[in-house]
Amino acid sequence: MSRYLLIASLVIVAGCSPVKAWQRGDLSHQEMQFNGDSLDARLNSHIYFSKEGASGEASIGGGGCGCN
Amino acid sequence: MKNLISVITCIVILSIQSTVYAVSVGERAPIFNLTTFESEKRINLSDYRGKVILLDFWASWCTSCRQAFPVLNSFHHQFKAKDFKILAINVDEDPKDGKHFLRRYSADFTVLSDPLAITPEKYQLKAMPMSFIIDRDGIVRKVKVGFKVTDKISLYRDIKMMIKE
Repeated sequence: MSRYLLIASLVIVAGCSPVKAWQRGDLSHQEMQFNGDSLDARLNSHIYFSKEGASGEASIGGGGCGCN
Repeated sequence: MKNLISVITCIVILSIQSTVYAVSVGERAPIFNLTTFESEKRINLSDYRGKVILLDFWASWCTSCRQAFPVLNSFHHQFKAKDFKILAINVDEDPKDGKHFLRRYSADFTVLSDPLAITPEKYQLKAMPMSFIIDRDGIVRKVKVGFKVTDKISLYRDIKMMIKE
């Protein structure tokens, strides 16, 4: 059993390879972003920050006025 | 227990095997031989021995590179008469992307193309853009990872200091 675990671990780990700095072209495409629309994401983040400011959203304090 | 230790050992070995270090300060800059975008003229790093070189790696998809180009243009014009040369290596897999970028963000300095990514492999880049200031003897004296507009001041100072040496 543990031998199979060893082989499986080796196969899985050997397949892991970091993406090099110069190979990130495909990852930088718009379709690959978590937030499809960066402007929309910033607006959502701002609203969330304003609402949750009093409880310290994003680890920054704020009064919840939405003015910062 | 013994098997568990061997599994953990293998995982650790396999996960550190890809750890490589970028060319660092004090090392000799690896030689390359690449073609330019405009004239397909071959350029060798050793052709510029005796000059201070700013070697910049860039790609069309890199947003900081867009900010870096106007700064590099200004350095080129300020120091071109003083044994200073900028070599910017494009690492796009498709050189057409690099050409398209250059139509929008002009470069007055020498731009080389390395679609096979041989040079970034030699220099083991950590980020994009990344630049190296190489002295007259071909030794790397400064390594700059990434680019911010405020870096202009420190880069200017470093280049000026190295030209004076």
